Amino acid sequence: MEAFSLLFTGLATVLQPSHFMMIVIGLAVGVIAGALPGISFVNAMAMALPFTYMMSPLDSMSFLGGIYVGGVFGGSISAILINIPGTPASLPACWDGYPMTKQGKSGRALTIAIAASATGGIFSALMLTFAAPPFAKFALRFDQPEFFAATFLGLVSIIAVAKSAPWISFLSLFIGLAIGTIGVDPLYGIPRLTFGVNDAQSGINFVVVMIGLFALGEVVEMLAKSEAVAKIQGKIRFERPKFVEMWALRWSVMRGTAIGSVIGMIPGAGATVGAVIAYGVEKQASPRGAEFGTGVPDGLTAPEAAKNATTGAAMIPLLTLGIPGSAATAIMMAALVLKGVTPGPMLFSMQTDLVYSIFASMLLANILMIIAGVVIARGFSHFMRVPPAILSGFIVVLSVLGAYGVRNNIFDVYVCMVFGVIGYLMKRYNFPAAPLILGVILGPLAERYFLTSLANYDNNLAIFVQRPISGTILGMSVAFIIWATLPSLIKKYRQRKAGVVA
Amino acid sequence: MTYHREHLIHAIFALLVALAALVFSHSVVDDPQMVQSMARGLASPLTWPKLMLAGVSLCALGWAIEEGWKAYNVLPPELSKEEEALEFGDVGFEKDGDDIPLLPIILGLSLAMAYAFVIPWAGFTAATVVFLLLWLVVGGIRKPLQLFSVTLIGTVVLLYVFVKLALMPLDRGQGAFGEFTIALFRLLGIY
Repeated sequence: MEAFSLLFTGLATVLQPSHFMMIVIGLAVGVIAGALPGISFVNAMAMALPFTYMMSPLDSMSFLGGIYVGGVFGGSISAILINIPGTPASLPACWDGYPMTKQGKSGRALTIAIAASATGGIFSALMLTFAAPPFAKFALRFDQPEFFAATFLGLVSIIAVAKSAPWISFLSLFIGLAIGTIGVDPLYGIPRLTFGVNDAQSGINFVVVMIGLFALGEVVEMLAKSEAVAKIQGKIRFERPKFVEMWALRWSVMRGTAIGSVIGMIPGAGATVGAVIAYGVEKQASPRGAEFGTGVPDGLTAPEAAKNATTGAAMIPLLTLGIPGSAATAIMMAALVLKGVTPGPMLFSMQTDLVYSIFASMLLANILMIIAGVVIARGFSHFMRVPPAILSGFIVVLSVLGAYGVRNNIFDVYVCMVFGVIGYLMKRYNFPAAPLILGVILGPLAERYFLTSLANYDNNLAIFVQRPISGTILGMSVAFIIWATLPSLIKKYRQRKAGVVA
Repeated sequence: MTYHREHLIHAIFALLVALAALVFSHSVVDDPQMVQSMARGLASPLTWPKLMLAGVSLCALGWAIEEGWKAYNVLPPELSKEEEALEFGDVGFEKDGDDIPLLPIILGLSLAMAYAFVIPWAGFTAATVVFLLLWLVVGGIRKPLQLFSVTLIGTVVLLYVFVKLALMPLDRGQGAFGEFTIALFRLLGIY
């Protein structure tokens, strides 16, 4: 009951004009950015970060949360209409959404996508509201070894994203962890890997790395693609969904929502993983699974519900443990930290009003996403006319401002540019960037928890397994690695044994 | 002997990364002996960085071996579309066959780097105007009206938002550029 009253109080707060406008603006920015091929919602959030420097913590989270929710859905607009996913998470929408467009059913496809996304997102926001506080209470029992174990789980979870390329995924992760050690160490105050550069003693800020990798590294391709990506044929007519038709898709929505809600909580996973897994599961579960790829509504519904269902779930590890569950929530963490708000279990007891206002803003964002989605989809052809060169130019300038604004230090801008070049090269040669950024974010945390655990427990290395909670979490990490890698190892062994020819 | 060139290049690159990590692990701090003597217990300031760099070396070696094997052996079947989409999560990946011209990309990256390095000398305002003009030209915008209106209006809006509203102390530049920036800010009502 207390949770309901706190939620209603939070809703009353976010319905105030200033906070409400932040959600609406964030949603609009997110849906547009998500819909435009070349800018993913992660890029949009990285570029929007500088604008949050002058906002309150609640406004920052409402704004970025709106972009997150809107952006996750927005990619489906271009995926369905022009067969180009606006964001990687919308790739499954191409597989059955675009065939529906080719059959003249673009309005119906968009209606189904909006309805499914909103359902998944609302459920996820409610799950965040009611599941996060009990988990935060449990997390109050965590000491340094438990936080280290949770951070370790977050780090190894990256294996779930790139099972077919574990070596380069872990290489990227370790490079990120090594970058995270640059600067003065947390316990002894000794500069490490600074090579005499004084500015490097304050370390490499993960916000700067993120802006460089995700924003800058992407936009140079927009510059090269000087013409509009594609034209939309005909007018989009939205159909009010018939209850009978939507009711027939209820199992797809439920399956997608359940998958997305679970996947979203796993640090290292995100909307793309949720959507693709939901598509695969639906293909097996649906009676029309064999027809998937030809414009089957079930094939569109499940991934749409799943990807928006990851949004609220991904915020659970962020708010309760201070461990971002994805690149998007890492940016939200940056916004909170820059405001002096430390996410973690203490946040729930010390700033309960803020926490429930954030929950309410996520809930409201998912409800308002329905209107934003319809409006932006209708005007999509106009947005597509903005020359990519103009968009990309201002993205570079915003990236510079964002990097500079972190510490008002030009050194951060230089670092951002270097990572921009690295980010482009990583994208071009399919070297995963997400593990690197996860390493930069979680590495310093892991080191601090590791060193303070040893300092607090008489240099006893076994403490991490002796304590039941941390031992369990580390055991889960090992089980996770085995579960993630064993099937692909078995598959590779069988292929080599059978002598498969390329 | 036939081999797959791309995988061989990956393997060589991976070996170079492993080597670089080994070199860096010996240069973590300026005076390793002094730092090691400061250690209280198991962990010293060198422990975590050396562990991470060892991880880099190990993973790079693993990748080198995998790529080396692929260079001289048959390849497994291609990934299904679901497996391909799962490869790199929310930040996407480059699809094979995306034919993007290299020259604008090299120009774009060079412009962005030059823009950042010029800011302390020329100031944010002047650097941004010149950068945007050049960027838009490289991007194919040729109409002078569009070029200058987008650049100037966009820069002014950014100055209002970030300098006047957000009070961000952006670089004014040195010498004449500094004076120009101050005069412009006074003209626009920012100062």
